Amino acid sequence: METKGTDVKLPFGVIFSTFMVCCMAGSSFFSILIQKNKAQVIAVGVLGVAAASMAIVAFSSSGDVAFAAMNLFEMCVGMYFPVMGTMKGSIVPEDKRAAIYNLYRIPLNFIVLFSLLTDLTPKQSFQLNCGMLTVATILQIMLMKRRSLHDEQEDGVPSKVEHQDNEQEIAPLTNDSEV
Amino acid sequence: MLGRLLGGIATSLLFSVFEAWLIRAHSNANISKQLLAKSFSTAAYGNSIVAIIAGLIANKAASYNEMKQITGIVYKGGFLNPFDIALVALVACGMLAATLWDENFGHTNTTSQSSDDGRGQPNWYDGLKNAFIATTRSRDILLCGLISSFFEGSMVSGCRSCSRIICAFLDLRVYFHSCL
Repeated sequence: METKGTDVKLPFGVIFSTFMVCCMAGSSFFSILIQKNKAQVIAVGVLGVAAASMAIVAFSSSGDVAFAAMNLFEMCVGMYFPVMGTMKGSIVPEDKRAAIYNLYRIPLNFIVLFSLLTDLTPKQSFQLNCGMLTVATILQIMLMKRRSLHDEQEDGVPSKVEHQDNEQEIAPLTNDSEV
Repeated sequence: MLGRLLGGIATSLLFSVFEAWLIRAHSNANISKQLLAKSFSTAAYGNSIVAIIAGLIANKAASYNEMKQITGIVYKGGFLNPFDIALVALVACGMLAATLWDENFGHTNTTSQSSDDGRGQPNWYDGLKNAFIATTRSRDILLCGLISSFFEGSMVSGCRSCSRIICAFLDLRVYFHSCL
């Protein structure tokens, strides 16, 4: 991409194809991860890495680093659809499913309208995205804890030892998120 | 304007109905829940492959011929070619779905909580009203919705800004080049 001319034409086709290949890689990676881990746990990882990559794009000074971070974000997007589909499939009740999915689109539309109507610089909009994804990661950690309690209740009353094991598993995750 | 309105309705249906149908069809076929994750993963994979192919075809089609006017407001050629190809693809998809897919309505019980309009038929807004009540009463469903809204919102606005920010970086590089 070395150029001395004043009009720089971006190879948008190559850029778009690179993003889509990262999406494909992300969805394949998910199908490997889902064999050993639960969907809620994978979702925390996906949202956290997405927030980190948006932060890198927002605060980086080099185009190559920003492009690499965008590729990482596209991998997260590729993992997002299967993991959310699986999670929503187990949380949302069957008879109201389509209506609830439509209700979920409403805040999304408000966010998109906000980003279109306000005149943010690209850097500011990436910072906003990073903030939203960080909030989403925190909410997902809350949801993961609630669902693991719910799954325990479905499996039957857990013994004291099992409950302590679960607490030990959850505690390191909260320590990491505070850092 | 009409096109944008219908496009918005179609997008809304796209992101809700296909997932709901898939989950219901999975449970109708008595396939285990583990394989639901695999189905979604395969769907995302195929989605990306088709997006790459569609981008290549659209690029080729848009540069195939120039846009000319036929009558008053009707044009053809140029940038309109990809839209025409998309029209053909969507009609083919619709016909395949109508003939090959089994219908399911996703209800497990239809008698609960619906106030009817005096003739025993549920009102048209009952579905949304029940969904809204279910979402606000259950914290799990609410959290799930907020998470997905935040992620999809940042995805859409990120894709809009990423081309601008890469251009900005390249301009920066060109500037440094000309300084040296």
